[in-house]
Amino acid sequence: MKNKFYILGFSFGIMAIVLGLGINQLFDFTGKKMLCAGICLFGGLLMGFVGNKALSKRAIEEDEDIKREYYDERNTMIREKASYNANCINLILLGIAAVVFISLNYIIPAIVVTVILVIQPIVMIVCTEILEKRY
Amino acid sequence: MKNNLEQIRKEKGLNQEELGQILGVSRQTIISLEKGKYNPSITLAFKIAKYFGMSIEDIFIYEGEEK
Repeated sequence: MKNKFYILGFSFGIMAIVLGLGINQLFDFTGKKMLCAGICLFGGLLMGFVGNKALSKRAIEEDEDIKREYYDERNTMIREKASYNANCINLILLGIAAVVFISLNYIIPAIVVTVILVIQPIVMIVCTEILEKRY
Repeated sequence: MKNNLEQIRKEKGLNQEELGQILGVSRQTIISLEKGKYNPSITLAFKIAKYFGMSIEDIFIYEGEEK
């Protein structure tokens, strides 16, 4: 099941890059380069993310020491705490970015960052609800 | 929470890496447990007690909440 997810994710990544390059070659409209760059960037990020996950999974499956380190309960606790702290710092940084964008009169980036700031706690609440039902 | 893990491990003639392998945890976790910096999960506490053939209370000493 997971392997299918990796293959699908990697394929989508490649398709996004091909699509980005194809649009760049075949069409001509204003803002084309930015759109193509965005699609290619998305494809690259997706490929990187899925590739990294797949390689990590393989390493865990093949190496007993890595598996033990990965599933170690103390390391898991550290990872969870580190993720929570990183999330808090990210929120602060996003807040600073929103203030900077507003002060520079960059309206669209400011809206995007503010929307992310608003969505973040909602995502956290939803995740907490799901986890509460599970445990 | 205090514990006698280091003493019990040494009596058994094991090093931290070996005990970690037996219990399925990292060497660093064993070090933290022995120093009392990390309190194990109930599962790990049972694993440790079972391996040494003791009760959890023989290994881990609960002294109330840390302030």
